[in-house]
Amino acid sequence: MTTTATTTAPMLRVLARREIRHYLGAKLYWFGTALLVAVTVAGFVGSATRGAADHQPSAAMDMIAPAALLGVLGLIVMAGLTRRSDRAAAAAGTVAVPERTRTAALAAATVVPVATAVLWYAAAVVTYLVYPPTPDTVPFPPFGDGYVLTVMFALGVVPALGGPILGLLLARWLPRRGVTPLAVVLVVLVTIILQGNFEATWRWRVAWPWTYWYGPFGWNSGTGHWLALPGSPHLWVAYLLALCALGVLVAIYHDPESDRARLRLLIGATAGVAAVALVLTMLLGLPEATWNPITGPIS
Amino acid sequence: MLRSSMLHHAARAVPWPLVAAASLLITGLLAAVRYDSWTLWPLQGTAVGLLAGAVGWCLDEPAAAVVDPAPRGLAWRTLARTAGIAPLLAAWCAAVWWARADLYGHPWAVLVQGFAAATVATAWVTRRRAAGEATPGQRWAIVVVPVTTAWALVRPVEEHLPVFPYGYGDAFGDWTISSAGWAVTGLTAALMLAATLIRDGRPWYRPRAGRPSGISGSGHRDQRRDQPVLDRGGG
Repeated sequence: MTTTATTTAPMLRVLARREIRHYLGAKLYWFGTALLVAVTVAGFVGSATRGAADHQPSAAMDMIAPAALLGVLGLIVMAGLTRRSDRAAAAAGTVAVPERTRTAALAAATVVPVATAVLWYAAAVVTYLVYPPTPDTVPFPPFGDGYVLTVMFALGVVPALGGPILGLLLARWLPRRGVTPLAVVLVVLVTIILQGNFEATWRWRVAWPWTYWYGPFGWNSGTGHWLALPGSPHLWVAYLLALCALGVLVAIYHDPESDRARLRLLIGATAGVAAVALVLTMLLGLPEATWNPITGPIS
Repeated sequence: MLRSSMLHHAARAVPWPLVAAASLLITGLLAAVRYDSWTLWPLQGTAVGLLAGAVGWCLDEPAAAVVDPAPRGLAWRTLARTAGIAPLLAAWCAAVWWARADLYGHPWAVLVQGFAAATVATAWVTRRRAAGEATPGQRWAIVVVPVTTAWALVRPVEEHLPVFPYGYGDAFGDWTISSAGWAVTGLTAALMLAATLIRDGRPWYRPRAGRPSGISGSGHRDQRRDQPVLDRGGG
Protein backbone atom coordinates (compact mmCIF):
# COMPACT_ATOMS: atom_id res chain seq x y z
CA MET A 1 0.00 0.00 0.00
CA THR A 2 2.86 2.33 0.84
CA THR A 3 4.45 1.63 -2.54
CA THR A 4 1.15 2.42 -4.28
CA ALA A 5 0.80 5.64 -2.32
CA THR A 6 4.29 6.77 -3.22
CA THR A 7 4.03 5.88 -6.90
CA THR A 8 0.50 7.21 -7.50
CA ALA A 9 1.27 10.93 -7.23
CA PRO A 10 4.14 11.00 -9.77
CA MET A 11 2.15 8.67 -12.01
CA LEU A 12 -0.85 11.00 -11.78
CA ARG A 13 1.30 13.95 -12.82
CA VAL A 14 2.66 12.03 -15.80
CA LEU A 15 -0.79 10.85 -16.85
CA ALA A 16 -2.34 14.29 -16.33
CA ARG A 17 0.25 15.86 -18.61
CA ARG A 18 -0.44 13.18 -21.20
CA GLU A 19 -4.22 13.69 -21.02
CA ILE A 20 -3.75 17.46 -21.30
CA ARG A 21 -1.74 16.86 -24.46
CA HIS A 22 -4.49 14.57 -25.76
CA TYR A 23 -7.13 17.20 -25.02
CA LEU A 24 -5.04 19.78 -26.86
CA GLY A 25 -4.82 17.35 -29.79
CA ALA A 26 -8.59 16.91 -30.09
CA LYS A 27 -9.89 18.38 -33.36
CA LEU A 28 -13.31 19.02 -31.82
CA TYR A 29 -11.69 21.20 -29.15
CA TRP A 30 -9.94 23.29 -31.80
CA PHE A 31 -13.12 23.49 -33.90
CA GLY A 32 -15.02 24.87 -30.89
CA THR A 33 -12.20 27.21 -29.94
CA ALA A 34 -11.87 28.60 -33.48
CA LEU A 35 -15.62 29.21 -33.65
CA LEU A 36 -15.54 30.79 -30.18
CA VAL A 37 -12.78 33.19 -31.24
CA ALA A 38 -14.77 34.13 -34.37
CA VAL A 39 -17.97 34.71 -32.37
CA THR A 40 -16.13 36.72 -29.68
CA VAL A 41 -14.42 38.95 -32.23
CA ALA A 42 -17.73 39.43 -34.07
CA GLY A 43 -19.38 40.34 -30.75
CA PHE A 44 -16.70 42.93 -30.01
CA VAL A 45 -16.97 44.44 -33.49
CA GLY A 46 -20.78 44.43 -33.23
CA SER A 47 -20.62 46.29 -29.93
CA ALA A 48 -18.08 48.76 -31.33
CA THR A 49 -20.12 49.58 -34.42
CA ARG A 50 -23.56 49.79 -32.85
CA GLY A 51 -25.58 52.91 -33.48
CA ALA A 52 -26.76 55.34 -30.84
CA ALA A 53 -30.32 54.05 -31.11
CA ASP A 54 -29.35 50.38 -30.86
CA HIS A 55 -30.32 48.31 -27.84
CA GLN A 56 -27.45 46.02 -27.03
CA PRO A 57 -26.42 44.11 -23.93
CA SER A 58 -22.73 44.14 -25.00
CA ALA A 59 -21.17 40.81 -23.91
CA ALA A 60 -23.72 40.25 -21.13
CA MET A 61 -25.65 37.70 -23.22
CA ASP A 62 -22.77 35.98 -25.06
CA MET A 63 -22.39 33.06 -22.64
CA ILE A 64 -24.12 30.57 -24.92
CA ALA A 65 -21.03 30.51 -27.17
CA PRO A 66 -18.47 29.18 -24.63
CA ALA A 67 -21.11 26.97 -23.02
CA ALA A 68 -21.91 25.27 -26.34
CA LEU A 69 -18.47 25.35 -27.96
CA LEU A 70 -16.39 24.40 -24.91
CA GLY A 71 -18.96 22.74 -22.63
CA VAL A 72 -21.10 20.68 -25.03
CA LEU A 73 -18.19 19.83 -27.31
CA GLY A 74 -16.01 19.25 -24.25
CA LEU A 75 -18.43 16.55 -23.12
CA ILE A 76 -17.71 14.68 -26.35
CA VAL A 77 -13.96 15.30 -26.24
CA MET A 78 -13.69 13.99 -22.68
CA ALA A 79 -15.84 10.93 -23.39
CA GLY A 80 -13.50 10.16 -26.30
CA LEU A 81 -10.39 10.63 -24.15
CA THR A 82 -11.83 8.31 -21.51
CA ARG A 83 -12.48 5.59 -24.07
CA ARG A 84 -8.97 6.07 -25.42
CA SER A 85 -7.52 5.76 -21.91
CA ASP A 86 -9.53 2.58 -21.31
CA ARG A 87 -8.40 1.08 -24.62
CA ALA A 88 -4.76 1.82 -23.79
CA ALA A 89 -5.17 0.26 -20.33
CA ALA A 90 -6.86 -2.82 -21.82
CA ALA A 91 -4.10 -3.18 -24.43
CA ALA A 92 -1.47 -2.96 -21.72
CA GLY A 93 -3.06 -5.87 -19.88
CA THR A 94 -2.37 -6.01 -16.16
CA VAL A 95 -1.29 -2.48 -15.47
CA ALA A 96 0.12 -0.74 -12.48
CA VAL A 97 -2.04 2.35 -13.03
CA PRO A 98 -5.44 1.94 -11.38
CA GLU A 99 -8.60 3.28 -13.00
CA ARG A 100 -9.02 5.96 -10.33
CA THR A 101 -5.62 7.44 -11.21
CA ARG A 102 -6.53 7.52 -14.89
CA THR A 103 -9.87 9.14 -14.02
CA ALA A 104 -8.16 11.80 -11.93
CA ALA A 105 -5.70 12.44 -14.78
CA LEU A 106 -8.60 12.85 -17.20
CA ALA A 107 -10.27 15.26 -14.78
CA ALA A 108 -7.03 17.26 -14.68
CA ALA A 109 -7.22 17.66 -18.46
CA THR A 110 -10.23 19.97 -17.97
CA VAL A 111 -7.64 22.66 -17.34
CA VAL A 112 -7.50 23.05 -21.15
CA PRO A 113 -11.14 24.08 -21.78
CA VAL A 114 -11.28 26.01 -18.50
CA ALA A 115 -8.19 28.05 -19.45
CA THR A 116 -9.76 28.73 -22.85
CA ALA A 117 -12.99 29.80 -21.18
CA VAL A 118 -11.09 32.12 -18.83
CA LEU A 119 -9.50 33.77 -21.87
CA TRP A 120 -12.98 34.16 -23.38
CA TYR A 121 -14.17 35.64 -20.08
CA ALA A 122 -11.34 38.18 -20.10
CA ALA A 123 -12.26 39.21 -23.67
CA ALA A 124 -15.95 39.38 -22.73
CA VAL A 125 -15.20 41.57 -19.70
CA VAL A 126 -13.11 43.91 -21.89
CA THR A 127 -16.00 44.17 -24.37
CA TYR A 128 -18.42 44.75 -21.50
CA LEU A 129 -16.29 47.51 -19.96
CA VAL A 130 -15.26 49.24 -23.20
CA TYR A 131 -18.73 49.14 -24.75
CA PRO A 132 -21.14 48.94 -21.79
CA PRO A 133 -24.66 47.62 -22.26
CA THR A 134 -27.40 50.11 -23.07
CA PRO A 135 -29.53 51.14 -20.04
CA ASP A 136 -32.61 49.21 -21.20
CA THR A 137 -30.72 45.90 -20.78
CA VAL A 138 -28.52 45.11 -17.73
CA PRO A 139 -27.52 46.06 -15.09
CA PHE A 140 -30.39 47.89 -13.45
CA PRO A 141 -31.30 48.50 -9.80
CA PRO A 142 -31.00 46.77 -7.41
CA PHE A 143 -27.98 44.98 -8.91
CA GLY A 144 -24.81 46.26 -10.58
CA ASP A 145 -21.96 45.16 -12.81
CA GLY A 146 -20.69 42.60 -10.29
CA TYR A 147 -23.93 40.64 -10.60
CA VAL A 148 -23.71 40.60 -14.41
CA LEU A 149 -20.03 39.60 -14.41
CA THR A 150 -20.76 36.78 -11.95
CA VAL A 151 -23.52 35.46 -14.20
CA MET A 152 -21.18 35.70 -17.19
CA PHE A 153 -18.59 33.65 -15.27
CA ALA A 154 -21.15 31.06 -14.14
CA LEU A 155 -22.61 30.56 -17.62
CA GLY A 156 -19.40 30.97 -19.63
CA VAL A 157 -16.51 29.52 -17.63
CA VAL A 158 -18.07 26.88 -15.36
CA PRO A 159 -19.67 24.92 -18.28
CA ALA A 160 -16.16 24.47 -19.73
CA LEU A 161 -15.46 22.48 -16.57
CA GLY A 162 -18.87 20.87 -16.13
CA GLY A 163 -19.31 19.66 -19.73
CA PRO A 164 -16.09 17.59 -19.84
CA ILE A 165 -16.75 16.23 -16.34
CA LEU A 166 -20.19 15.08 -17.48
CA GLY A 167 -18.50 13.38 -20.44
CA LEU A 168 -16.11 11.65 -18.04
CA LEU A 169 -19.01 10.55 -15.86
CA LEU A 170 -20.99 9.15 -18.80
CA ALA A 171 -17.98 7.35 -20.25
CA ARG A 172 -17.26 5.75 -16.88
CA TRP A 173 -20.79 4.68 -15.92
CA LEU A 174 -22.60 4.31 -19.27
CA PRO A 175 -19.98 3.23 -21.80
CA ARG A 176 -22.53 2.22 -24.41
CA ARG A 177 -22.93 3.01 -28.07
CA GLY A 178 -24.92 6.18 -28.70
CA VAL A 179 -25.10 7.28 -25.07
CA THR A 180 -22.90 10.38 -25.44
CA PRO A 181 -24.70 11.96 -28.45
CA LEU A 182 -28.11 11.17 -26.93
CA ALA A 183 -26.94 12.71 -23.64
CA VAL A 184 -25.95 15.88 -25.50
CA VAL A 185 -29.42 16.13 -27.02
CA LEU A 186 -31.14 15.51 -23.68
CA VAL A 187 -28.94 18.06 -21.88
CA VAL A 188 -29.68 20.70 -24.51
CA LEU A 189 -33.40 19.87 -24.50
CA VAL A 190 -33.71 20.29 -20.72
CA THR A 191 -31.42 23.34 -20.69
CA ILE A 192 -33.39 25.19 -23.31
CA ILE A 193 -36.66 24.51 -21.51
CA LEU A 194 -35.21 25.66 -18.18
CA GLN A 195 -33.44 28.75 -19.53
CA GLY A 196 -35.99 30.93 -17.77
CA ASN A 197 -38.49 31.68 -20.50
CA PHE A 198 -41.30 29.92 -18.68
CA GLU A 199 -42.51 31.64 -15.54
CA ALA A 200 -43.39 28.38 -13.79
CA THR A 201 -39.69 27.46 -13.69
CA TRP A 202 -38.32 30.75 -12.39
CA ARG A 203 -37.87 29.72 -8.74
CA TRP A 204 -36.46 26.20 -9.10
CA ARG A 205 -34.73 26.40 -12.52
CA VAL A 206 -31.40 27.06 -10.71
CA ALA A 207 -31.23 23.37 -9.79
CA TRP A 208 -30.24 22.80 -13.45
CA PRO A 209 -26.59 23.71 -14.12
CA TRP A 210 -27.24 26.15 -16.98
CA THR A 211 -29.96 28.78 -16.96
CA TYR A 212 -30.23 32.47 -17.73
CA TRP A 213 -30.46 34.96 -14.88
CA TYR A 214 -31.63 37.91 -16.90
CA GLY A 215 -32.69 38.67 -20.43
CA PRO A 216 -35.31 40.13 -22.71
CA PHE A 217 -38.02 37.81 -21.45
CA GLY A 218 -41.20 38.11 -23.39
CA TRP A 219 -39.25 39.33 -26.40
CA ASN A 220 -41.17 36.90 -28.55
CA SER A 221 -44.32 38.79 -27.64
CA GLY A 222 -42.67 41.93 -28.95
CA THR A 223 -42.05 43.80 -25.71
CA GLY A 224 -38.32 43.19 -25.40
CA HIS A 225 -38.51 44.18 -21.75
CA TRP A 226 -35.53 43.04 -19.68
CA LEU A 227 -36.04 41.11 -16.50
CA ALA A 228 -33.80 39.67 -13.78
CA LEU A 229 -34.87 36.40 -12.19
CA PRO A 230 -34.90 35.59 -8.46
CA GLY A 231 -31.96 34.03 -6.63
CA SER A 232 -28.28 34.62 -5.99
CA PRO A 233 -25.86 33.92 -8.87
CA HIS A 234 -22.89 34.17 -6.48
CA LEU A 235 -24.07 31.19 -4.46
CA TRP A 236 -25.08 29.46 -7.67
CA VAL A 237 -21.40 29.42 -8.71
CA ALA A 238 -20.63 27.59 -5.44
CA TYR A 239 -23.44 25.12 -6.24
CA LEU A 240 -22.07 24.51 -9.75
CA LEU A 241 -18.51 23.97 -8.51
CA ALA A 242 -19.80 21.52 -5.90
CA LEU A 243 -21.62 19.65 -8.69
CA CYS A 244 -18.36 19.46 -10.69
CA ALA A 245 -16.49 18.08 -7.67
CA LEU A 246 -19.32 15.60 -7.13
CA GLY A 247 -19.03 14.48 -10.76
CA VAL A 248 -15.30 13.78 -10.43
CA LEU A 249 -15.81 11.85 -7.18
CA VAL A 250 -18.61 9.73 -8.66
CA ALA A 251 -16.43 9.02 -11.72
CA ILE A 252 -13.55 7.89 -9.45
CA TYR A 253 -16.03 5.80 -7.43
CA HIS A 254 -16.51 3.64 -10.54
CA ASP A 255 -13.17 1.96 -9.85
CA PRO A 256 -14.08 -1.11 -7.77
CA GLU A 257 -10.61 -1.13 -6.24
CA SER A 258 -10.85 2.42 -4.95
CA ASP A 259 -11.37 3.24 -1.29
CA ARG A 260 -15.13 3.32 -1.69
CA ALA A 261 -15.93 3.83 2.00
CA ARG A 262 -13.91 7.05 2.05
CA LEU A 263 -15.29 8.08 -1.31
CA ARG A 264 -18.88 7.58 -0.12
CA LEU A 265 -18.13 9.92 2.76
CA LEU A 266 -16.67 12.52 0.41
CA ILE A 267 -19.54 12.16 -2.06
CA GLY A 268 -22.06 12.59 0.75
CA ALA A 269 -20.28 15.67 2.09
CA THR A 270 -20.00 17.25 -1.39
CA ALA A 271 -23.65 16.50 -2.13
CA GLY A 272 -24.52 18.16 1.18
CA VAL A 273 -22.52 21.27 0.26
CA ALA A 274 -24.23 21.35 -3.15
CA ALA A 275 -27.68 21.03 -1.55
CA VAL A 276 -26.97 23.85 0.93
CA ALA A 277 -25.59 26.07 -1.84
CA LEU A 278 -28.70 25.37 -3.94
CA VAL A 279 -31.08 26.24 -1.13
CA LEU A 280 -29.15 29.44 -0.41
CA THR A 281 -29.16 30.28 -4.12
CA MET A 282 -32.95 30.14 -4.07
CA LEU A 283 -33.37 31.99 -0.76
CA LEU A 284 -30.82 34.78 -1.10
CA GLY A 285 -30.19 37.35 -3.82
CA LEU A 286 -33.15 38.89 -5.62
CA PRO A 287 -36.29 37.89 -3.72
CA GLU A 288 -38.44 37.99 -6.85
CA ALA A 289 -38.31 38.66 -10.57
CA THR A 290 -37.43 42.31 -11.18
CA TRP A 291 -38.16 44.29 -14.32
CA ASN A 292 -35.83 46.90 -15.74
CA PRO A 293 -37.57 50.25 -15.17
CA ILE A 294 -36.45 51.32 -18.65
CA THR A 295 -38.27 49.55 -21.44
CA GLY A 296 -37.18 49.29 -25.02
CA PRO A 297 -37.74 47.11 -28.06
CA ILE A 298 -35.18 44.45 -28.78
CA SER A 299 -32.80 45.30 -31.55
CA MET B 1 -38.26 -2.79 -52.70
CA LEU B 2 -36.66 -4.55 -49.79
CA ARG B 3 -36.62 -8.32 -50.17
CA SER B 4 -37.44 -10.62 -47.27
CA SER B 5 -33.77 -11.60 -46.97
CA MET B 6 -32.91 -7.92 -46.62
CA LEU B 7 -35.53 -7.46 -43.91
CA HIS B 8 -34.16 -10.52 -42.14
CA HIS B 9 -30.67 -9.01 -42.36
CA ALA B 10 -31.91 -5.62 -41.14
CA ALA B 11 -33.80 -7.16 -38.22
CA ARG B 12 -30.51 -8.44 -36.85
CA ALA B 13 -28.10 -5.78 -38.06
CA VAL B 14 -29.82 -2.46 -37.28
CA PRO B 15 -29.51 -1.09 -33.71
CA TRP B 16 -33.27 -0.87 -33.20
CA PRO B 17 -33.21 0.46 -29.60
CA LEU B 18 -31.08 3.40 -30.79
CA VAL B 19 -33.37 3.93 -33.80
CA ALA B 20 -36.41 3.93 -31.49
CA ALA B 21 -34.77 6.32 -29.01
CA ALA B 22 -33.67 8.69 -31.78
CA SER B 23 -37.11 8.62 -33.45
CA LEU B 24 -38.80 9.46 -30.16
CA LEU B 25 -36.30 12.22 -29.40
CA ILE B 26 -36.66 13.74 -32.88
CA THR B 27 -40.43 13.83 -32.42
CA GLY B 28 -40.01 15.29 -28.94
CA LEU B 29 -37.61 17.99 -30.15
CA LEU B 30 -39.98 19.14 -32.87
CA ALA B 31 -42.91 18.91 -30.45
CA ALA B 32 -41.01 21.36 -28.24
CA VAL B 33 -40.44 23.64 -31.25
CA ARG B 34 -44.15 23.44 -31.98
CA TYR B 35 -44.91 24.40 -28.37
CA ASP B 36 -42.85 27.62 -28.52
CA SER B 37 -40.86 28.05 -31.70
CA TRP B 38 -39.51 31.52 -30.82
CA THR B 39 -37.88 30.29 -27.63
CA LEU B 40 -37.05 26.67 -28.43
CA TRP B 41 -35.99 27.01 -32.06
CA PRO B 42 -32.39 25.70 -31.61
CA LEU B 43 -33.95 22.30 -30.98
CA GLN B 44 -34.86 22.19 -34.68
CA GLY B 45 -31.16 22.16 -35.61
CA THR B 46 -30.49 19.65 -32.85
CA ALA B 47 -33.14 17.37 -34.37
CA VAL B 48 -31.45 17.57 -37.79
CA GLY B 49 -28.12 16.59 -36.20
CA LEU B 50 -29.70 13.73 -34.27
CA LEU B 51 -31.35 12.43 -37.44
CA ALA B 52 -27.98 12.46 -39.24
CA GLY B 53 -26.29 10.75 -36.29
CA ALA B 54 -28.93 8.04 -36.03
CA VAL B 55 -28.69 7.31 -39.77
CA GLY B 56 -24.96 6.76 -39.22
CA TRP B 57 -25.67 4.25 -36.45
CA CYS B 58 -27.91 2.25 -38.81
CA LEU B 59 -25.07 1.79 -41.31
CA ASP B 60 -22.41 0.60 -38.88
CA GLU B 61 -21.25 -2.97 -39.36
CA PRO B 62 -19.45 -4.16 -36.23
CA ALA B 63 -19.03 -7.56 -37.90
CA ALA B 64 -17.22 -6.02 -40.87
CA ALA B 65 -14.52 -8.68 -40.77
CA VAL B 66 -17.21 -11.25 -41.54
CA VAL B 67 -19.50 -9.38 -43.93
CA ASP B 68 -16.91 -7.54 -46.02
CA PRO B 69 -15.61 -10.64 -47.78
CA ALA B 70 -19.11 -12.13 -48.14
CA PRO B 71 -20.76 -12.24 -51.58
CA ARG B 72 -23.41 -9.72 -50.53
CA GLY B 73 -22.05 -6.40 -51.67
CA LEU B 74 -22.00 -3.08 -49.88
CA ALA B 75 -24.96 -1.90 -51.96
CA TRP B 76 -27.06 -4.89 -50.89
CA ARG B 77 -26.20 -4.40 -47.24
CA THR B 78 -26.73 -0.63 -47.38
CA LEU B 79 -30.12 -1.15 -49.03
CA ALA B 80 -31.02 -3.71 -46.35
CA ARG B 81 -30.07 -1.27 -43.61
CA THR B 82 -32.38 1.41 -45.04
CA ALA B 83 -35.04 -0.52 -43.12
CA GLY B 84 -33.59 1.22 -40.06
CA ILE B 85 -33.33 4.61 -41.76
CA ALA B 86 -36.96 4.49 -42.93
CA PRO B 87 -38.53 4.84 -39.44
CA LEU B 88 -36.18 7.74 -38.70
CA LEU B 89 -37.25 9.56 -41.86
CA ALA B 90 -40.88 8.68 -41.16
CA ALA B 91 -40.53 10.18 -37.68
CA TRP B 92 -38.89 13.26 -39.21
CA CYS B 93 -41.67 13.71 -41.80
CA ALA B 94 -44.42 13.17 -39.22
CA ALA B 95 -42.84 15.57 -36.73
CA VAL B 96 -42.29 18.29 -39.36
CA TRP B 97 -45.86 17.87 -40.61
CA TRP B 98 -47.17 18.09 -37.05
CA ALA B 99 -45.14 21.24 -36.31
CA ARG B 100 -45.64 22.78 -39.77
CA ALA B 101 -47.71 25.71 -38.53
CA ASP B 102 -44.86 26.85 -36.27
CA LEU B 103 -42.01 26.60 -38.77
CA TYR B 104 -42.33 30.21 -39.94
CA GLY B 105 -43.98 29.18 -43.19
CA HIS B 106 -41.03 26.98 -44.24
CA PRO B 107 -41.95 23.37 -43.40
CA TRP B 108 -40.55 22.20 -46.75
CA ALA B 109 -37.21 23.84 -46.04
CA VAL B 110 -37.02 22.07 -42.67
CA LEU B 111 -38.02 18.79 -44.34
CA VAL B 112 -35.23 19.23 -46.90
CA GLN B 113 -32.70 19.85 -44.11
CA GLY B 114 -33.51 16.47 -42.60
CA PHE B 115 -33.38 14.57 -45.88
CA ALA B 116 -30.14 16.26 -46.94
CA ALA B 117 -28.55 15.53 -43.55
CA ALA B 118 -29.63 11.88 -43.78
CA THR B 119 -28.17 11.62 -47.31
CA VAL B 120 -24.87 13.17 -46.21
CA ALA B 121 -24.74 10.72 -43.30
CA THR B 122 -25.43 7.76 -45.59
CA ALA B 123 -22.82 8.90 -48.11
CA TRP B 124 -20.06 9.54 -45.59
CA VAL B 125 -20.60 6.43 -43.49
CA THR B 126 -20.91 4.19 -46.58
CA ARG B 127 -17.72 5.69 -47.98
CA ARG B 128 -15.88 4.91 -44.75
CA ARG B 129 -17.39 1.42 -44.74
CA ALA B 130 -16.11 0.87 -48.27
CA ALA B 131 -12.67 1.91 -47.01
CA GLY B 132 -12.79 -0.89 -44.44
CA GLU B 133 -13.81 0.98 -41.28
CA ALA B 134 -16.28 -1.13 -39.30
CA THR B 135 -18.21 1.44 -37.27
CA PRO B 136 -17.75 4.88 -38.82
CA GLY B 137 -21.34 5.77 -37.89
CA GLN B 138 -20.39 5.82 -34.24
CA ARG B 139 -17.59 8.30 -34.94
CA TRP B 140 -19.90 10.29 -37.22
CA ALA B 141 -22.67 10.57 -34.61
CA ILE B 142 -20.25 11.56 -31.87
CA VAL B 143 -19.13 14.52 -33.98
CA VAL B 144 -22.21 15.52 -35.95
CA VAL B 145 -24.75 15.60 -33.09
CA PRO B 146 -22.83 17.98 -30.79
CA VAL B 147 -21.51 20.11 -33.66
CA THR B 148 -24.97 20.70 -35.16
CA THR B 149 -26.33 21.27 -31.66
CA ALA B 150 -23.63 23.83 -30.87
CA TRP B 151 -24.14 25.46 -34.27
CA ALA B 152 -27.91 25.66 -33.76
CA LEU B 153 -27.41 27.24 -30.34
CA VAL B 154 -24.76 29.78 -31.33
CA ARG B 155 -25.81 30.37 -34.99
CA PRO B 156 -22.49 31.97 -35.98
CA VAL B 157 -22.38 34.14 -39.11
CA GLU B 158 -26.04 33.41 -39.76
CA GLU B 159 -26.37 36.35 -42.16
CA HIS B 160 -23.76 34.82 -44.47
CA LEU B 161 -24.11 31.10 -43.72
CA PRO B 162 -27.75 30.39 -42.84
CA VAL B 163 -27.47 26.72 -41.87
CA PHE B 164 -30.53 26.81 -39.61
CA PRO B 165 -32.49 29.99 -40.45
CA TYR B 166 -34.72 31.38 -37.75
CA GLY B 167 -37.96 33.30 -37.73
CA TYR B 168 -38.93 35.11 -40.88
CA GLY B 169 -35.39 35.53 -42.23
CA ASP B 170 -33.72 38.96 -42.40
CA ALA B 171 -30.88 39.08 -39.87
CA PHE B 172 -31.59 35.50 -38.77
CA GLY B 173 -30.67 33.91 -42.10
CA ASP B 174 -32.25 33.67 -45.52
CA TRP B 175 -34.49 30.62 -45.94
CA THR B 176 -34.12 30.42 -49.74
CA ILE B 177 -30.31 30.47 -49.64
CA SER B 178 -30.37 27.94 -46.82
CA SER B 179 -32.68 25.56 -48.69
CA ALA B 180 -30.58 25.86 -51.84
CA GLY B 181 -27.45 25.07 -49.83
CA TRP B 182 -29.02 22.04 -48.17
CA ALA B 183 -30.41 20.76 -51.50
CA VAL B 184 -27.04 21.08 -53.27
CA THR B 185 -25.29 19.39 -50.32
CA GLY B 186 -27.82 16.55 -50.33
CA LEU B 187 -27.55 16.01 -54.09
CA THR B 188 -23.75 16.05 -53.96
CA ALA B 189 -23.86 13.49 -51.16
CA ALA B 190 -26.25 11.31 -53.19
CA LEU B 191 -23.82 11.35 -56.11
CA MET B 192 -20.94 10.45 -53.80
CA LEU B 193 -23.00 7.60 -52.37
CA ALA B 194 -23.75 6.28 -55.85
CA ALA B 195 -20.07 6.48 -56.77
CA THR B 196 -19.06 4.59 -53.64
CA LEU B 197 -21.56 1.81 -54.26
CA ILE B 198 -20.64 1.51 -57.95
CA ARG B 199 -16.94 1.38 -57.07
CA ASP B 200 -17.63 -1.51 -54.69
CA GLY B 201 -18.37 -3.56 -57.82
CA ARG B 202 -20.61 -6.17 -56.22
CA PRO B 203 -24.30 -6.17 -57.23
CA TRP B 204 -27.09 -4.80 -55.04
CA TYR B 205 -28.95 -8.07 -55.37
CA ARG B 206 -27.94 -11.35 -53.75
CA PRO B 207 -25.85 -13.48 -56.10
CA ARG B 208 -27.47 -16.81 -56.89
CA ALA B 209 -25.78 -20.07 -56.01
CA GLY B 210 -23.28 -21.18 -58.63
CA ARG B 211 -23.07 -17.73 -60.17
CA PRO B 212 -19.73 -16.01 -59.87
CA SER B 213 -19.94 -13.28 -57.27
CA GLY B 214 -17.94 -10.11 -57.02
CA ILE B 215 -15.44 -11.53 -54.64
CA SER B 216 -15.24 -15.24 -55.15
CA GLY B 217 -15.88 -15.28 -58.87
CA SER B 218 -14.45 -12.10 -60.30
CA GLY B 219 -11.54 -11.73 -57.94
CA HIS B 220 -12.87 -8.40 -56.64
CA ARG B 221 -10.11 -6.26 -55.30
CA ASP B 222 -10.12 -3.23 -53.09
CA GLN B 223 -9.59 -0.35 -55.52
CA ARG B 224 -8.14 1.92 -52.87
CA ARG B 225 -5.49 -0.38 -51.53
CA ASP B 226 -5.22 -2.78 -54.43
CA GLN B 227 -5.47 -5.66 -51.97
CA PRO B 228 -7.98 -8.49 -51.81
CA VAL B 229 -11.10 -7.50 -49.87
CA LEU B 230 -10.52 -10.46 -47.58
CA ASP B 231 -7.48 -8.67 -46.21
CA ARG B 232 -9.34 -5.58 -45.09
CA GLY B 233 -10.20 -6.60 -41.57
CA GLY B 234 -12.89 -5.22 -39.35
CA GLY B 235 -11.33 -2.07 -38.01
